[in-house]
Amino acid sequence: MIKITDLEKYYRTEEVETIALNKLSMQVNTGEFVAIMGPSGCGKSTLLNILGMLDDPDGGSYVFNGVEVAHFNERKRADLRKHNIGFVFQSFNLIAELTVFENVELPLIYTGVPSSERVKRVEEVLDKMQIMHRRNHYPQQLSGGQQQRVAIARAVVNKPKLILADEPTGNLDSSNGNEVMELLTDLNEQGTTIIMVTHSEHDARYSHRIIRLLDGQTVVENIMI
Amino acid sequence: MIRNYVKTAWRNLWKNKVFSLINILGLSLGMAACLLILQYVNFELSYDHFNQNADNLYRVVNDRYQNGKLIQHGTITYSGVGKAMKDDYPEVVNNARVLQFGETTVTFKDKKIPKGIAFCVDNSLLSMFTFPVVAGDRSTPLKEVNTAVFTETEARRIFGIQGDNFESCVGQMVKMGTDTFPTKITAVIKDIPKNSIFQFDMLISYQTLIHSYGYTAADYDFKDSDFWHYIQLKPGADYKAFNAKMQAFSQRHFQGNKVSGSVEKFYLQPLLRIHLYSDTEYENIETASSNVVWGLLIIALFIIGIAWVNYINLATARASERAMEVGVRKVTGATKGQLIRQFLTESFIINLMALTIAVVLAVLFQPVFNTLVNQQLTLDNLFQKGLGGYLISAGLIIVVVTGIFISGFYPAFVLSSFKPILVLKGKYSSSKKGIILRKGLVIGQFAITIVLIIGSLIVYRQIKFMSSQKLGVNLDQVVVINGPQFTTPDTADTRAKAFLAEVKQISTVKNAATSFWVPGSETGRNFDIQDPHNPSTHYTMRFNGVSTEYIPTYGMTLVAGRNFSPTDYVKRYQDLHSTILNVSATKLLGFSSPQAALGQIMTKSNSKWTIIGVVADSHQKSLRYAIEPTFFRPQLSIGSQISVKMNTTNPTQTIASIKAVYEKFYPGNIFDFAFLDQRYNEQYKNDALFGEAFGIFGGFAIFIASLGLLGLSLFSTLQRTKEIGVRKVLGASVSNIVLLLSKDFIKLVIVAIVLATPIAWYILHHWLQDFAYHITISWWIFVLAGVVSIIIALTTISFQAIKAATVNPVKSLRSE
Ligand SMILES: Nc1ncnc2c1ncn2[C@@H]1O[C@H](COP(=O)(O)OP(=O)(O)OP(=O)(O)O)[C@@H](O)[C@H]1O
Ligand SMILES: [Mg+2]
Repeated sequence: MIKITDLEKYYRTEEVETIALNKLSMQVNTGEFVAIMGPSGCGKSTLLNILGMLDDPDGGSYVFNGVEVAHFNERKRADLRKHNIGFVFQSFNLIAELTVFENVELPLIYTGVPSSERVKRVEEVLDKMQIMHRRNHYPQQLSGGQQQRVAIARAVVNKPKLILADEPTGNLDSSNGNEVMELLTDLNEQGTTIIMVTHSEHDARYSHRIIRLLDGQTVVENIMI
Repeated sequence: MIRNYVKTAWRNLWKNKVFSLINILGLSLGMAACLLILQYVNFELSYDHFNQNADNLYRVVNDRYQNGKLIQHGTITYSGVGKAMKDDYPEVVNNARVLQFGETTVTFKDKKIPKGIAFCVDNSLLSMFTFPVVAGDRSTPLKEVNTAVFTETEARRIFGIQGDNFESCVGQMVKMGTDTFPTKITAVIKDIPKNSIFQFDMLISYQTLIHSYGYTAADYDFKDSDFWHYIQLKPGADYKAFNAKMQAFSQRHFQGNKVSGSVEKFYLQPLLRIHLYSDTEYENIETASSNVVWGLLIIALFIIGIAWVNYINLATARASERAMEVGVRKVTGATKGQLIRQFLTESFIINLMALTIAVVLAVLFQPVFNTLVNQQLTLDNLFQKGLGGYLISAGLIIVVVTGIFISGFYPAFVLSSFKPILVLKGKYSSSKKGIILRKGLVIGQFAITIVLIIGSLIVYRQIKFMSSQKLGVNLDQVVVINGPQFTTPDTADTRAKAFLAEVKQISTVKNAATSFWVPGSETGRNFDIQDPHNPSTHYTMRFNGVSTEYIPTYGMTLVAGRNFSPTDYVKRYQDLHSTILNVSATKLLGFSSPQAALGQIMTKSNSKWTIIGVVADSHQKSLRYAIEPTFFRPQLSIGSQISVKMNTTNPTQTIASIKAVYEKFYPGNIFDFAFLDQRYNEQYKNDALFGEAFGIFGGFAIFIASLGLLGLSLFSTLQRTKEIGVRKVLGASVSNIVLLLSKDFIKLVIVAIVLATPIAWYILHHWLQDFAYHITISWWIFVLAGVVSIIIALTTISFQAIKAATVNPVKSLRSE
């Protein structure tokens, strides 16, 4: 599904140039559950953003589903993104002014799903995440675990082929964290490819494979059985 | 402590450069506009306040009614009225008669010096009004026949006086205008203040009029209403009570309509209202429109108000940003009072900086503004004695101080009342009330702005309508020349005919005519026209005395009968018998058609006139006034205005040729000419000023309101950066985001449109009623104004919105 070769990313500020990704190559197949680990600042989030087409690389190639997307413009990337990829962030990133239902509904609005269909799909996914009873609440009224479940609901409502999760349990206690991991495992078992950044060896054990990064380069790949 | 306040305030302003800039820019523009407008307003409101007796001085207004209809609303009245009032009522302590002479040439030692403005007045005027004598007879300079008083400037101009030795000209003899007898200068008075309704260079004694000119009707008469009257009441006397007695006065002296042919209604108009509130005819003093003055004052207050609202809105909108600072300060021991003083200091510094810039701007734009209002104003006019003493000046200071206070106090109050624990836990969110207030203020700003846009559109259209309307007279390429003052009266008509004939010889002159009055000026009225079918009923008509060529020169249309022919002109007024009416006049006299009027007799004060022709109605005055029934008499007179219709591409050369002829026929006279279309359009001067002021200061208001909107949208996008990022990650397009950010503001603007429409309609409908001929307010103006304001708002907001929408979402999400 994903094949990157010699991927490079630099950040230039006034004083220094940071090499966030240094000729990184890797591959993720359809249906895989991959965890990315590494010390703080090694480039994990950068990699995830590029994989999610939120950011563009400074060099190298990125083939998504057989299409070279490294040179895609903003519009094409946005289009590819909204139909194929769902995001889960450490800090949930729910919109405070919208209810649970409305937050989850957003991606469907942007992909032009008709309103009756939207209601059905949102309810379906809220049900699956077991937060149906909270549909009319605002994010501030929910616990961290509940908020992350809403965020996951929002990430999957469009039935993406790939979910990118950046430290999804980082702001949660261990029981809420485990719940989220189980949800992701379920989704993976139903066929969704998942790439997850984490600092937790415990969480990483839910994955099939761990990619360890150091200074923007792959160090080891562990296969989990 | 103050030092600490100032230091922190200064740092805060510096840290939030964009917001500070928006605030200072808006405030300084608003204040500059305010300063300029207030100078003008204060000057206009200061008229005649310099007179020590101002509160007790009045002008007599005389309304005349015929058949129950108002036929004249005039400042002119009968010469006997003033003295009769004084004799009849003890509260009248003084009265003065005034007749205007206009531009008068003064001859001193064979040197003719033109253009001095003269009024002919009773000596009592000098003790009623404050025109202090600096040299000569201090108490009765105008008591005797053939005496006159000069202002200092006129004395310098005529006698070449250097320094202040005005005594040297007292007792000198001069000749006024065409006089054959000399006039003695008995005193010199101080120059007339600019804010006096009377503007003149010399005063001639009223006795001269009666005795030297033999104008007996000017003395004590109830038949000729051609004189202006001023009355002084006892201090404390109530003029309204006095006005109530005027019906009995009229009955006593005029016996219904028996004496003058019309029912006379008198009332006193306070001196201090004359300048701004005179809608009367035959004005001979300086008037201005109160609509313009009060309208501009309101606009000025709105502009500065909009700027202060910007400050309040931005300060409170950003309250959440500063909540943390307030929390920390409170936790470390600051009291609420200290915090309020802190925020007030900030507001004070911003206002002070803005005021400094505003003064600089006002001084820079003073010349432009002076051209606009056609005045010589300076910042001194802000502190001029005027309405209610120094009411406006004091008002200005009060408004500025309160403005600073309110705009500083409200945000200070909001900010200082945060609960520190909540704030430090990050639980601060804008209060509902604050948001509603902010929305209300934005709606208010835009509603005012939209009223101003609609106003300038409608005023502009009305002025355009008036200047494009067919007048019925063609003023194109017509020059008007003042009739000669100096010539021998017995040769007047032959000389005038010969002069016109020779002017017409010029190849680029199409036609030339003389008339008592030209289009655009106030013609005389005759109140004694009989109804042909019912001789006891009398009517009033306008009249004009014209040469044969008048009707063709102005391209007026004869709808029946013929024009005057040379045989209609006879020397003696008593022998004149042919007249031409306009269509309105034939209707007034009850003729079924213009044709039916031909050959009929019009009886006027026992003289009989045969109607030989009928012309189509034409506008004599501006479109503010209705066309009145008018009759034309075949009359040549030496003082008549000369109208020359040219057909030339080189007017300068043609006018030079006309001048040569004029000087040949009327040596010793000043050739003074004007293009009639320009002079005619000067009637719209006040309306044009109204329109321009609406437009220009409306533009200011829009700009300042947009600055505020820019600030608010800047802030709200800042606040929503993260949300925008999330939405983009979820697939929102740039236009989705722009729409999202603009939607809320546009809603406010739409509410403003809804509010502004009826207000604007009401004000402008009212304004248009002053015009006899006016446009109807069409719906599309409101739509246009609405669309324009939405476009302005949208453009302002989208600056920010587009920027925010195109930012890479990774950046905004990283800031966690
Ligand atoms: N917008 C940016 N500008 C400048 N430098 C950046 C930017 N984003 C990331 N970096 C730098 O790039 C490097 C990689 O950052 P990245 O966020 O990918 O790290 P990470 O592995 O996700 O770290 P963490 O585990 O702390 O989230 C870091 O050195 C970081 O400082
Ligand atoms: Mg990271």
